[in-house]
Amino acid sequence: MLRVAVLRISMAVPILFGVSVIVFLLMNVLPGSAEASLVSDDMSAAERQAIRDELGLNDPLPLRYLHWLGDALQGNLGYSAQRRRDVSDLLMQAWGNTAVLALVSAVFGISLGLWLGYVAGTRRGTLIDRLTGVLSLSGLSIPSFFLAIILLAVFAGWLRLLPSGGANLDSGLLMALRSLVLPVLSGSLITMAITARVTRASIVDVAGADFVETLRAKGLSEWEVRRHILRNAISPVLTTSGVQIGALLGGSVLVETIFRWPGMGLLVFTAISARDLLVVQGATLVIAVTFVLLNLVVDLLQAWIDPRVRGAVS
Amino acid sequence: MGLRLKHALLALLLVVLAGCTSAAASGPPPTGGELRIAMSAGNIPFPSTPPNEGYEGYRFVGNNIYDGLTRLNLDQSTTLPTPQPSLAESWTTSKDLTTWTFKLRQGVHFHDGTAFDADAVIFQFDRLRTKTSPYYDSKSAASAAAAFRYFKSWRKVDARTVQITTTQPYAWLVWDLAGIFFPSPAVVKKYGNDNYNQHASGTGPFRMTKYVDGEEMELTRNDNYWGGRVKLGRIVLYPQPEPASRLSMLQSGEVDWAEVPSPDSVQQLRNEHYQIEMGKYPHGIMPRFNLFRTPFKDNLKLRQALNYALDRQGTAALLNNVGYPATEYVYDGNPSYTKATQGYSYDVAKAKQLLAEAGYQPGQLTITMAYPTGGSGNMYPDTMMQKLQADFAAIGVHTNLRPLEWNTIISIGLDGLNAKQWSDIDILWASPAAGMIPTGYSATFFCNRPGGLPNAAGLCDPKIDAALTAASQQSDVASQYRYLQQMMDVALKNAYFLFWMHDLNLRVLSPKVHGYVQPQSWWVDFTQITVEED
Repeated sequence: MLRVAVLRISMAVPILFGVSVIVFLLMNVLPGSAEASLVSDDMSAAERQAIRDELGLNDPLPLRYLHWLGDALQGNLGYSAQRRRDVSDLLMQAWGNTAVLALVSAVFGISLGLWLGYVAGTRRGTLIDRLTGVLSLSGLSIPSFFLAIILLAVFAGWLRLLPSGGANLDSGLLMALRSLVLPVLSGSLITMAITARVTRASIVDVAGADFVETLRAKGLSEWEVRRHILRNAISPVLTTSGVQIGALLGGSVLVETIFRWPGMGLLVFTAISARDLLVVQGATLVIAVTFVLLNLVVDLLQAWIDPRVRGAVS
Repeated sequence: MGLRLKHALLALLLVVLAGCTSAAASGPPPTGGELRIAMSAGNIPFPSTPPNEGYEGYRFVGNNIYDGLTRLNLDQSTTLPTPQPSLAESWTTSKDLTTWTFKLRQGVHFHDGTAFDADAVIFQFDRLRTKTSPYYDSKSAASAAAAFRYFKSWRKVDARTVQITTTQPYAWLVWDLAGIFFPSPAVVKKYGNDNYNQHASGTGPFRMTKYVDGEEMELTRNDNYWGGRVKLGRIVLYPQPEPASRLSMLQSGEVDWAEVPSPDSVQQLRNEHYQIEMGKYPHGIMPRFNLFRTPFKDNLKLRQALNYALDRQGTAALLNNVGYPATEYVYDGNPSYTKATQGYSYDVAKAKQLLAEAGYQPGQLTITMAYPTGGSGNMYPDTMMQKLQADFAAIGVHTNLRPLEWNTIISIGLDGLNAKQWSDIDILWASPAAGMIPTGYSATFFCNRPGGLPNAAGLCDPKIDAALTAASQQSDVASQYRYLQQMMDVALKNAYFLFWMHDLNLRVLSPKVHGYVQPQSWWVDFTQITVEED
């Protein structure tokens, strides 16, 4: 198992490097100037160049990238001139907020999706199966921002039952939980839908396998048989859940903007708008590391649960 | 396994949340009430000197935490606010308008308890202007550069007197000084420029008592304010760039004040007895023709044709009349407004005729217009641009729409339309604070911007340069405006801009808010406001 972990972590290094290079290049081919939000159109060309010099914007691109990489490897992600804060501080604050939202959304979306998929898969053709189909299709089709605005208008604006936004994590546990309800519902719908569909398909697939007939022929109770089905069907669900949690931890720009949730999505969006290169670079690195670690955890879990996977990896 | 994982995740979440609850919470608001505001900015303006987030930063943060040597009289709505004594209680100027002597107010203290005096003024000027100063703040200096455009030197005369000399006769120094704020030198020295924002300390009517970047800022009444204790107990600011979310915040009772809700919601809010605030103020959408090259350079008739082609009333109707047609660069009522020349009406026949006289038959001309997809103070670009495209099509001019991020539009304004990467743009969106502060005209109207770069749109008219220069050198205010009116007249006759729409500064307040005055300004006075307590 340790060998698997080391192998996967070493594979992550070129991925992280590639991601950081691509993001750096993309940010630098965008139209607009990084110093635009800092300077005045009254300034002389020399004054503007001085600011660009100070921000390192006049250095050749490869040199700028290497400077950033060198500092990042030493744990220094730089200082955001646009926000007047250390990038690492900004990222810690935003990642913490997104992690809370992502974790609750993942627990809610995956649990519900798993349950719906399991019930639908084991009761094929019944009303609940069809309802699950409709629900998961809706979850995939309804844009999260649209659902967010509707939920906001009804539960915050009209009924005044829930707060309209803000993380409110320093306003007590009850307030924090109330603040989570609407963003979690909006953000986890797609997670629920994907999990339900994958679970159902996997259950249906495994339920038709020969070994299930054998288990029944051996006289196992239906409960025992279903436990075996679930264990064999869980692998693809784990894979998709890992991707889903990774996406949630990357932060949703739209949900975070609508609910004023100060997380990674909102941070990256505002940083791109302000051409705050260091924040975008740092955030991308954090999101990519999160994805890689999460996938590693998923792979290890799969290897632990399913001996076939363990054999394939090793 | 799934159940165990779920329990573990839930336990982790509860630990995280419980940890978060240990952070300090604010106490009850002081008497006078708490005013909670949903701003349209994407983030809390940082409390630097100057703040960021454009004029929204000055409106909510800068003018509340800090004072300038002068302050606009924003507590009235009848006239354009003008500079009044603030930290400077009086001033005199030399006959040639190049040497200004300011008597500072005595007994003023920063929020950290240290005294405000001439040293604090010199400290801040050095911090923003003298590169050899140990506390020189290059980033703030860059943002504040416009306010220092004509500063030559400054010195302390005595503990309560400072003197500023300017590079040329300059009557509008007192306008620029309204935007230069003074932080506590002791706080700057203690925390340094990079960490100053978390400890911001000024002399203003409110002191910063909470600042969570990206989330909220709390400003609590400064009971020792030199101008007397203000009525309002506390202001809480929330950033929310999404109009639908700002509306929900207002309707849910979480805020008492929402900036720029969707125009479609105005009637509904009125029915629900919210206070709808709208009024003329110095803000317009005045796109700039690219005058560096054809088709607009040296083609007055073409510029006039497009001005006559605009159905401004139709545009206003699309916006539910939260804006109104512009007849010229500034609004009727602004002291720079000229009555000498009539503005452009909606006249398709005349537009077609002028287009033909300009040398273009219908269908022959295609232009490219760059505009922002959003950004505070840009009204409603998507709706407006679709209407503009249809208006121009009606006279046979095809318009390529080029939506760009606000940052890019600002960059174009810095680089100029003569820069290679922007030279294919024929018209550039512009949303000036038209006429709020006269020095604001410099970068838009002069042939060369004060820093020496050419006018970003290629506008260069000696008559305008002469009028604007003369205006800034008159000690008599009426004469200043007479020259500015001349300048506006030249701009209007020559159709140097696409005179399009004026904004009405839509904002909505809860019925609990009292004492609010909608000034003819981007900034607001908070000192007379109260909020009924529940």
